[in-house]
Amino acid sequence: MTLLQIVLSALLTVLQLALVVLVGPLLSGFRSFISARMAGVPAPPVLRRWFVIGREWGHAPPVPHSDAPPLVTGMIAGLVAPFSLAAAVCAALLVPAFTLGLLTRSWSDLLLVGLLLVLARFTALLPELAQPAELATFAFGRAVALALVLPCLFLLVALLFSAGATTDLASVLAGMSHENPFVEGAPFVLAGAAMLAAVDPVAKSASEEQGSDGALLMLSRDMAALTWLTLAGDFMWPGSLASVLDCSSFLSGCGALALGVLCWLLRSFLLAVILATGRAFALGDLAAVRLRAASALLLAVLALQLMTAARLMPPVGVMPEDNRVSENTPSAHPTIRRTGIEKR
Amino acid sequence: MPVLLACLLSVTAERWIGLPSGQQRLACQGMWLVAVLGALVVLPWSAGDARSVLPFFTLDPLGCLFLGVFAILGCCSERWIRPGGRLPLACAAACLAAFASDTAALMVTGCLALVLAFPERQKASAGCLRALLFAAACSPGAVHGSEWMAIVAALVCAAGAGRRQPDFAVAPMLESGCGLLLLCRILLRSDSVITPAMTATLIAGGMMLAFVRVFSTLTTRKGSTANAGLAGLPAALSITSLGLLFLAGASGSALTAHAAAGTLVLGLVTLWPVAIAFLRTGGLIAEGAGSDHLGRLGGLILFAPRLAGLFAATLLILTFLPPAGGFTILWLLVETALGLLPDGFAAALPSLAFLLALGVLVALTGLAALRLAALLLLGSARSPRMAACPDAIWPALAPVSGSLLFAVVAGFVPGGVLRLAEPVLQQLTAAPRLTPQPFFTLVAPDGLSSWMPVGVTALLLMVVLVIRMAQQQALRSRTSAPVLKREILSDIHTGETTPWLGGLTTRAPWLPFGEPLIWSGVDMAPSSLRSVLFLRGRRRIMSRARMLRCGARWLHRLRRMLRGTAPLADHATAVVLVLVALGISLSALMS
Repeated sequence: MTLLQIVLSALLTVLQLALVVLVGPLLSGFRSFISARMAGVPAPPVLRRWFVIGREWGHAPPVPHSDAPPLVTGMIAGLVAPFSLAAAVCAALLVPAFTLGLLTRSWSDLLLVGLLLVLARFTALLPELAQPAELATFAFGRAVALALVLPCLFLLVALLFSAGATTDLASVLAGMSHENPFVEGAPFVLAGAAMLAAVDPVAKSASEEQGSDGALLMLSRDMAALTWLTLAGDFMWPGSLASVLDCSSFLSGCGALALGVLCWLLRSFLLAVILATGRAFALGDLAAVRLRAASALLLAVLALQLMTAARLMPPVGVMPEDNRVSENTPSAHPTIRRTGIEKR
Repeated sequence: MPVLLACLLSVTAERWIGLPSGQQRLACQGMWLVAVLGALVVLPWSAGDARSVLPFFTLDPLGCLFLGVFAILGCCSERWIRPGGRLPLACAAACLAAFASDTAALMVTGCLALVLAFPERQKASAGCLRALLFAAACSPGAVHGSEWMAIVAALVCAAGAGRRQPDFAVAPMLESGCGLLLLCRILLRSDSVITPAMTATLIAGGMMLAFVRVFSTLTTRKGSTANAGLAGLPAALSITSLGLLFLAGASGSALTAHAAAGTLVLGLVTLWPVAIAFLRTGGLIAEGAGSDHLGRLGGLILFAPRLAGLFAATLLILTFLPPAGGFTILWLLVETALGLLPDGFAAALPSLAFLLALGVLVALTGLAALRLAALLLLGSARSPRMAACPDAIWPALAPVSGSLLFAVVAGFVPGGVLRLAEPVLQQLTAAPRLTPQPFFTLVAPDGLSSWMPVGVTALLLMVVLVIRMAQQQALRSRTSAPVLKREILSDIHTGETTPWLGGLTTRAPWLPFGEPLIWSGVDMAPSSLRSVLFLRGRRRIMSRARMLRCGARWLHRLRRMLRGTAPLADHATAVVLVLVALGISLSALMS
């Protein structure tokens, strides 16, 4: 890599970080708005989440007027809130949101990204676990909901490996950028749909933490949700990722970048609408958790089966004449790209 | 020599040596430290010709690796307040067993270590069983007999229960270590034949053991059992990685076999010391809190910040979440399983099931860690005794923090550790030297995926620093304007005190004795999982089924019968002894 490419990668990384920080709370507010509309209750403004985070950012955490020892909750929140947000930021930096060629592309392992998001969520739950029984049990229930979706992440890692012989997200997405989402990329559309189950659902009641640490926790939750959505969008439509570093001129690079940002925003908001429509179904909390876990697992298994079935089908050249539809039909079976192991 | 010196210093009474109080413990720990460093220094050069240390004991790479683990165990088993004890002696015997080249020597030293680490009298039968299975695996037997016996012995040793006595808190790791050593020694013999059934048993048994461990952590009421459950995960995963190593060797994939061997080595270097430190810290907490019941602890971060910090750090590493060393082991296991992924959905089903099981294991481990954190560290003291829990002094925590530091530093340079342990990798894979890994990075068998712990950790810490500084700046800039909380009735609030009350806090009129503090109990995690995973209506339907009622009646009768035979439990040890001795004699006769 030349120095210019390194500088450009760094700039793209900073730009992605800034956009993720800006769009995360906005998307969360949008999901709350659409969910409330779907459920038929008064909807909060879309910018309310940003307003709350901005309001609480400069406030010291209040001392609760109760007999419960405030020390533990305050101390834990002060310790884990920056850590949780940092884990969410790291995960967001490792996922290509609108462009390939980020500075962190060599670390963008799917397993690492998924578990960093889990780390961010679990650490964000610790202040609530320090509360008395009712709040702690609710917080543990949220952890259980995420933990039930976690096993399907490992199946998606296997799917990614089947496609590109590596678990490196950036490399596989770069290789899939020219695939049709309805033909070769169909398993990844299913994988993206499975990944939507990991997005933290919108709280039915307004859950707003107080103080500066609370603002960090809210931002961490929003960024983690946006990163899961970005990951799902990358899987479903890898062609929307721009290759700015490969552009020949400055203007074409700017155009590709703008188009990539637009596509990212479009697909993220579209997926948010799909998620928010889930509120239209009258499901209890437990039923929703079970449904999310089961559907994620089924979709992941189906994606794997589709992928292996597509790979095991004989190529067009060796198919019998009767089964061949026409010479101009595009190949429904992607070529086997397992380079590393099979070459060995 | 340092091991023997440490052992002698440990068993000698303080008044015989005349050192000031505490200095003898420091000398013991120093000797164990010298043993650890010696093992690490000798490790790269230990692959030459077999050098006899003592008769029947030979220096080899695998022995050096296990010597390091057992020496760390010995260092952590030295207690500050009460010198002596059986466990340092057991660690010394295990150190000797690490170099045993002869099966008889391995049997004597290993059994000695297991016998010295016996639990209390009521549970001695399990210890007896472990020791006898260990001895049976070392004795000559029928074809494949010793291999199968070694697998069973390793699984039984790794399933050791937690100990309530603080002196023996790390004993489960010693038993697991002895079992793993036996497994490596027996299965890596030149005349051993590894069948596919053995490989499958190793992988499935290791995963099953890990599940049992995590379930016990999620559901138990005893702190020692919960700690031993989480600390037993590295041993279970080591057994699994050994199975993956043999599977990769059978499939002829040298790179994948190298990755599986690397998993075993990195687990022993970076995860086992953390598990030892975790158990030691848990023992100190139980000793300070005066109870082993999880429902009587809580709020440790208020009363013992040093112990709480060490406990939280070790807990984070054991949960397999990045960027700690546990994730390195998980990543290597996943990459090894992916390296063995065959083409075709039906053929890949076992590998996919293994990956799914790994995912479930990580999820349950995370939940178990959250449960332990909520019950031990967070909230407030659930019993008055817990509120008086003293914090440990730094000299008492030195071995724990030292082993944790060693594991963390080694976890940042996984490639360096694998380069250092190259002779062990060659001994495990029986393959020529491959291209060495980069110093700070692990490269997967596919050659494209990589994992750099130090880079991700540095990024994480840098972001934390930036966030913290920005937060402080924002708070500092706004403190000039006092923020008043808007109240509807601006009067005396609940929880405030006034001069005329003499320091008493104002209570709410509807709660004259204060708010009831009901903390989450030990059944929070199991009940949450049960409510999500099991349908309620189904149980009612099932209870109406006649067959199930018959089954419940039979179960009740069986329980009553077993309760009647409880006095026989005292003689269980003798029965087990006789049975296993009979088995050994028969196998010897058949051979």
